[in-house]
Amino acid sequence: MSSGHVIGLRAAAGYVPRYRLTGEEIARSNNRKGGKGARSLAGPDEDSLTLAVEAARRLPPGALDGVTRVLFCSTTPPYLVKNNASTAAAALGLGDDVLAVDAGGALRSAVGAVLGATAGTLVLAADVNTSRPGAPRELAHGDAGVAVVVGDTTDAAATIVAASSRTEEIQDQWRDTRQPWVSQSEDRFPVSRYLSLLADAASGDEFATADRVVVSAPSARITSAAERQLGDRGKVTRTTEAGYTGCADFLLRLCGALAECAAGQTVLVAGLTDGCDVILARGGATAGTAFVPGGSGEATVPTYLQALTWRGLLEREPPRRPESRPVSAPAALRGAPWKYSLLASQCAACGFVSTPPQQVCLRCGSTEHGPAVNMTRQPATIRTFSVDRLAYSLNPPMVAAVIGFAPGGRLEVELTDSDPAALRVGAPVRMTFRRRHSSGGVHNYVWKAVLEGGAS
Amino acid sequence: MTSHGIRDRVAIIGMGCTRFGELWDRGTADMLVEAANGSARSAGVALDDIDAFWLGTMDSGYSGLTLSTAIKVHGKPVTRVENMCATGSEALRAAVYAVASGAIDMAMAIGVEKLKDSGYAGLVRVDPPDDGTATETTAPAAFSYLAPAYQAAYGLDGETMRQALTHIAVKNHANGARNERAQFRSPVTADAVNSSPLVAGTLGILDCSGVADGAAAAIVVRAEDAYRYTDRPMFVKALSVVAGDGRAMLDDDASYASIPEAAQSAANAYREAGITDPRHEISLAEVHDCFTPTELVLMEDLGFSGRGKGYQDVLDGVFDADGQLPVNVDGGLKSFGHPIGATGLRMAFECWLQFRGEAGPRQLPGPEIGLTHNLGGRPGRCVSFVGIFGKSPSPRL
Repeated sequence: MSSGHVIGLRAAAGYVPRYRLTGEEIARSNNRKGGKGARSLAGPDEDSLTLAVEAARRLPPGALDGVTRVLFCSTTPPYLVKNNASTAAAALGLGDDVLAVDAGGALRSAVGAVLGATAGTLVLAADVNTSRPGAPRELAHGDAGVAVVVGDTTDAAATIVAASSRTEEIQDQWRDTRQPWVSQSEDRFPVSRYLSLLADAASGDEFATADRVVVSAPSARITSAAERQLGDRGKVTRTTEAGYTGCADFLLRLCGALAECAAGQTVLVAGLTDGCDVILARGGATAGTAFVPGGSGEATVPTYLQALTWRGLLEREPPRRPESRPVSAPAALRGAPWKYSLLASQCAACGFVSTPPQQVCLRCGSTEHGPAVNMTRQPATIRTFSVDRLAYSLNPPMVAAVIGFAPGGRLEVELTDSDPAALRVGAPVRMTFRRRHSSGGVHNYVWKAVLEGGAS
Repeated sequence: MTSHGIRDRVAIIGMGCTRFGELWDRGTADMLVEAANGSARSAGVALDDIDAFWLGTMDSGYSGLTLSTAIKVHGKPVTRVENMCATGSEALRAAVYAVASGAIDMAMAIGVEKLKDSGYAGLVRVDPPDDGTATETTAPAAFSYLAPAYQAAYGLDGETMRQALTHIAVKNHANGARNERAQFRSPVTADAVNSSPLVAGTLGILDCSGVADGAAAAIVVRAEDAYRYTDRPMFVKALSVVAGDGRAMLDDDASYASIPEAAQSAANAYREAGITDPRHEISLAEVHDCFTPTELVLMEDLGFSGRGKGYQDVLDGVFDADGQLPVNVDGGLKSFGHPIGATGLRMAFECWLQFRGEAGPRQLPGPEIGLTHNLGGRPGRCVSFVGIFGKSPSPRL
């Protein structure tokens, strides 16, 4: 397929978690010297859904206005059967009139979702890539999420002016759904095939030159070969240090390259999974602000044992406490506006904001409610705090605090991605959507808080 | 509408209390029988003489059957009550108010908790199914919240705060060492408290009360009948319970350096008992020292110290066994542990012993008024109980 169909991109944002698994740390834990390389690593309370939500929350203000469809793509979705996109839509405060659906579990799904999207579609793509310890991909494949808002060409910050795809039936990587890790075939055989698919797909005049050339491929061998093959079309750039981020990778690299684009500059992106997808995107005047790369602040390197524990590859003795209870489905449904969208109630009589929502106003006793208040982006401040060494947590010890929101409302929260030593009364925090625990096969998603400046 | 209280209308004529501790060889029924029989013996009555029973337990059995089948109550009302960690006090309140109403002549309040069979560390609560949004901090963390907020409110540095908390722990363990019923009977040094392994926030293991099994019971009659049973009854001056509205968890103007429910229940109790200067009128206070910061803020909430002055009074020894107002002279929750349903009655039991001159090595000189303070829940969402007991009926009677 080669198409002149023009797709407008209104905005995009990436999210790369703050943690890094490094070759140095793996070598250290194996009592070896040296060790090179690093990949991004989702925190213990992150999964592909929360990565995607966090990416979308980094979109520029107003980017989600007018979104009517949400497509969630992941090879590592928290659930099968149950729609993960519903949770994302709720966490992002989108109304129930949005069509939100999961759209595939192949590496190629997210590219396909964007190429097939109509204006007003939010494409979310994320993966948490787990390798068997010692696997070649262990340090090459990282975790990230990306959110792309497809617009029409009139409000686009960038446009995909050309796209060309080839599809091949090729057994080079796959995941048995009963296994947490990806299997792969011998890695040299697909190289020549992918290069010929790429040559064919990118043969059109529209792909002859670009300001930047970006390759997204799961194999380092194929990536290097493809970059050499496209080297004369434009400046080859690698826009992420997260590693290959699975389903999110193509769009994350596109987003990163567009963020660097001056108006009118072009990016050629080639994706090489199960065939080949080549696009040429041209940045508009607002590309520099509409595209938010998944850049990271200061990275944190957990121990290898922690990393293995976070991914369930190492089971540690739990605290001598009862397991966290499963979420009650009826209670979660009743409380969905609070649980997922963090909508506080506001008293119609006196304006007092209650977190969580209350039937009766604490201040004036009224039972009349005004419009709900979305607390997900409200500034908040620590009133008191603790480090709970006895509580159950996915990443003990649990760091907890009582926070006050600027418009009113006080809430006890768990903190994540925060250094306990930096806790103090008065410190500012912001909210983030995370998985607290899983019980009975049900994941408990909650809003936690992060110390401002404490996370990537 | 107002609460008039029941000052001097009801008296306790007998009490029983088991040893508190890890009672691996004793079950709930064993402890109930011991406490019930102990209180009956103390009052010189038979269990059959008692007209109605109130059993306080949070998790050691449902309904009045837990008691009636254990001690074999025949054809009498037995009611189980629960108000979290204030459960034992709530049982006493129910029995006392029933007698005060005139409906019955003699009632028993009994509290029990068998915690050590659960196999878990700390207290465990079985909550109803919910949407999973509540942050499930443990009790030590919930009470450790008091410390940073108190420090921030009064500009207290970490070292001074630590000294005050450590003083409380050292004091209560020293008191408990002189009590044969306490779970922990070894004094602890300040160094041991300061270096104890962290549990939550700045609280080490020695800032926390223990987890124990135990039971305690009281038999109550109308005050005018009390001297028929004993020459030294204990008069009930006030029993006040306040269930909080959750303010400190909802209203960002609320202070976390205080437990307002405690202050309210104390104000109610003082009004009903006619106490205007608690620090000087009260001879001993048994307060809910579940964690050391709790006792610190209670000194202010109960009106013993001015706001922001409690830590100084603690460090000055005001609440030591030989201080102006001894607090937890029996060792408190710190030494006894906290068998939930029993704790409130165990506090009253110390007042009982002290008034009767039966407190042995802990005996205070001539105590007249005792206060018990029992707290259920956690700062921000709690029920608070304050009881005032007297050695004598008021002069006006």
